[in-house]
Amino acid sequence: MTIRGLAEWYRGLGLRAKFALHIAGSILLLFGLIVPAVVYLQTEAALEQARHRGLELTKVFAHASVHSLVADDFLAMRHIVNSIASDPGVLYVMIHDRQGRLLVHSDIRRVGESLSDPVSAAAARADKPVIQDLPDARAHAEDFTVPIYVMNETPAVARIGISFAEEMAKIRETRHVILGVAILALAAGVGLAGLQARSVTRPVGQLVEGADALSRGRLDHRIPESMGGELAQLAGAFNRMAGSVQALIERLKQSHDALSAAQDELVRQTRMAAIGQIAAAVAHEIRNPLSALSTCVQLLRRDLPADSEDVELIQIIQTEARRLNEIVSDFLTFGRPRPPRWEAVVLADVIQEAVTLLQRDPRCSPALAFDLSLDPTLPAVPADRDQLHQVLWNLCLNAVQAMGPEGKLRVDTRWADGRAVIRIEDTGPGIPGASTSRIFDPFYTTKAGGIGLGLAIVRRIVEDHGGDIAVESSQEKGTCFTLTLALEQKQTSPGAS
Amino acid sequence: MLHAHAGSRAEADVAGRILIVDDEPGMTRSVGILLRRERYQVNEAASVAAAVGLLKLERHHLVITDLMMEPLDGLDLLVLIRRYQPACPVVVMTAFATPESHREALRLGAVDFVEKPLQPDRLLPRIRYLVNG
Repeated sequence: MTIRGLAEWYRGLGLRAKFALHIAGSILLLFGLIVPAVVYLQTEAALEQARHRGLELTKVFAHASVHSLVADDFLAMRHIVNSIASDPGVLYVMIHDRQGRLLVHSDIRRVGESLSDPVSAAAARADKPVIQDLPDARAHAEDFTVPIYVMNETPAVARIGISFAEEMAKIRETRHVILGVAILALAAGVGLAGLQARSVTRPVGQLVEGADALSRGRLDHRIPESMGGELAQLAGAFNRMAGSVQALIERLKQSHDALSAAQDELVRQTRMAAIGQIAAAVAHEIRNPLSALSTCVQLLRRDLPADSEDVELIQIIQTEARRLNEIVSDFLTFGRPRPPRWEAVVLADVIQEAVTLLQRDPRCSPALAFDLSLDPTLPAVPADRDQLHQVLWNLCLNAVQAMGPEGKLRVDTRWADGRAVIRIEDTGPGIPGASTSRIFDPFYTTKAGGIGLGLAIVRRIVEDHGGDIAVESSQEKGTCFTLTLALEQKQTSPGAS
Repeated sequence: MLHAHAGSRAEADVAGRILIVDDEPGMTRSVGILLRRERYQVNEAASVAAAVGLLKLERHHLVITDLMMEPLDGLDLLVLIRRYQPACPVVVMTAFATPESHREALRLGAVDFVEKPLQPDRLLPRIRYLVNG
């Protein structure tokens, strides 16, 4: 793995792993420096102490041997040698002369032997205490040589070989303990680092999660601020930012809604103004010829005998001319509505009037049943009587035309929540398909011979009155319009014109 | 001279003289015929200028005028009529009535304001009342 690869790998590590890695590195570095230093110093101190002891022992041995050497008392010498050799760690105890011939040795069989190894050679020449390493010993061992003074002469040297195996074993043991402590410290350090890192990475993870949620549009997401310290401040700042963004977007949405509503209203008003102008022009262009036509036809009719077949033809012309004029009137009413002329209107009267007119109308089958259920306690409502009449007329005429020859039209009124509610229910075939949502749109029609303005006018008038209109329809039950009007006038326009 | 003579010869059996003003010839002709059958003497004018010319010549018992005409309209005629025949009642008819035009016409002295298409059955009694008092 190259250095670049290593760096790449390191960058890819998570925060926790990096944290643990750093702690582990620090601990390893610390122990790597401390352990060899401690071991070295301890070894040196132990060896120094051992050497000192060895040298002192050898000096005492040399001094003690002087007398028996002079007296040539072999037994006394052996006694001293044996007592020293019984010490643990002592490899050998001996005295030899300057030629290397052994005068006494802890191994009694070697007495009389001549020593010629380099250590012994160097020892034989020593005129002051000498310490030499013993190269062929299994463990670390040293030779201590002290010359023996007899009458200012040094005819022989006292030597003791001491093994430092025990000291070395102790030092090894210490090294093992330190290594064990280092490993424990490493493990504990890494573990603690992981725990500590977790207390950092978990809030950071929550921050990351929060930012992610925010970026995906979940503006109500907030981060717990329970971790304390700078991270809590960060979480707080994040939450405040999220709140600002949310508020900003909310405001943006509101102004967008307001703007598009205003735009819709502008488009609607522009369209209505255009329809109004067209309606006025059409009214002018159609009603003039229509007026001349009606007058002429009426003049012609006067001259005909009552039993003439042409009377029927003229009636047809008059009926159709009236229909044309109604279309123009609808178009005008829709395109150039006038504001309501407010007065107190008794709903029952207007309903009764519309139904009575309808029953006399040739479009209404005589077999149809009418069921009026009008609440007599309902107070008069503020409304434009003519416009309300038109609403009821349009709705009732639609119902009657939808039912055909047979059926029942039910009209009832009641109070609900401070509002007057009028229901107009027929037993007709219902409004086809899913067109209930469109029936109030201008120029939308499901019946032949209409231009689709009746219900648009109805809705417009109801809205001008501050009321509501709803429709329910099914093939089995027929159609029901529910009209709701305020019992108190909403607008501040004058009550009477 | 000839015109006036013819007028005076018929004077005995006419119910009254009516001026009808409209830029739609179909309207003036049809209403003209309708009123003549009711034994009124009828003058027809296709513009306000023509109407003023006739008003200068003859006294009328009633003027029926359209509202929307070019270049002068029915409201202008209401003003002009006060100069030549202040006592003559004026009925305004229009194909397209607005509350404003209705109010303005009544303010300028119109006695009646009717919407087209005209309904002869309702109009004739009203005319009879206005002409004969």
